[in-house]
Amino acid sequence: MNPRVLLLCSTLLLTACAPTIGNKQDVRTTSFFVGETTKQEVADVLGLPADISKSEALGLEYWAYREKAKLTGIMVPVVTGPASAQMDSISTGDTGEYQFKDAAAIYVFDKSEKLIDVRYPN
Amino acid sequence: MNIRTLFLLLVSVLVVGCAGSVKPMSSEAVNEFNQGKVAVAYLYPSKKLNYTEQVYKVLWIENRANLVSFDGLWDIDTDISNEYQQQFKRLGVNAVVAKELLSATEYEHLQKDIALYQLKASEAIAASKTVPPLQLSTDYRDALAAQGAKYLILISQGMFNVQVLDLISKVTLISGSDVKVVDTRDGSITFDGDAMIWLNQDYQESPQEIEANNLQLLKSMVARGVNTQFEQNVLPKQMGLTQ
Repeated sequence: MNPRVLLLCSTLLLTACAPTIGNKQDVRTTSFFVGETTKQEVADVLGLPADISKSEALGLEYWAYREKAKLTGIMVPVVTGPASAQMDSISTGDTGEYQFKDAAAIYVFDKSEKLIDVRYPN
Repeated sequence: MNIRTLFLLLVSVLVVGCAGSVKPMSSEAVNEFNQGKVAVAYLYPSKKLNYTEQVYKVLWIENRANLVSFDGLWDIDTDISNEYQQQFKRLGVNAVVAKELLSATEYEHLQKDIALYQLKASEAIAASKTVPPLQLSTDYRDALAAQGAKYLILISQGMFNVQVLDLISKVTLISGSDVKVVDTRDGSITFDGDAMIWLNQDYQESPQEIEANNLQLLKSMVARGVNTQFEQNVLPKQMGLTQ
């Protein structure tokens, strides 16, 4: 085989990919201006939150972000014979549904849609 | 054949199977449909996007998911109800958006009923039980009937799944919706079918581009998906409105 093709194949085989889904930036290192940044600006920088909840009484809205996309399962190749293999799936049992314990950052907005607080629960 | 291709094939077969077994509306209902006022309501209680991706890790493949919310950022129920109204109008149906015929309280009640129905249906499916029948409250049903809307077209959207294929910089939006036509006079179901949204979209840098500029691309994708249901004559034919 051509050494260049072999090198390319080896590179492809050895290079793992990183997930592209999840927050657009790290929530722990991204800064916003309290009292100035709007909901839309936060959405533009980080992407959509995992959960949005509201307190009608306080007039506040809470946007919760996870640290990263959830692992829901893995697929492993299993050799089944001298020239055959199959992919086995293993589920983590996680559906990706948001739970409070997953929150890496919570952004609090007031009625004017301005950021008034940021919390890092975990 | 890889797992994804097999999965897509299986889903296609299931969808075709469902479409084939749907019974169109009776000719009497179609006649009434074409002569009187018909209310349309599109409802998506979840207001979420479920991104999924398979990540290559040399010795294994990871399945990743990220469920995100656009609740309060896009009034999808109103926008897509309008889209369906326009599509039905093009077919000659005197379609009116249900929200315009109902009070705020009545409309909220309808939204809550559909959210509860979706929850019960998903629980029943997860437990391999029969999906309970749709129960619509009399307040908004009576209000629609009183305003001359003998039928309500109810489209309740299932979860929007956004499958990411990073290798070719493409996302696929897949979602099914439950389409029912309810006789507002007695609450009976005149039509019980389904509709699919299934379309691809290229991206430049990141799959989250569909969220940019206040969800501009996502909005156009959903509208395009609805449009396709009519352009390809899938839903109208299923309902018995066209041949």
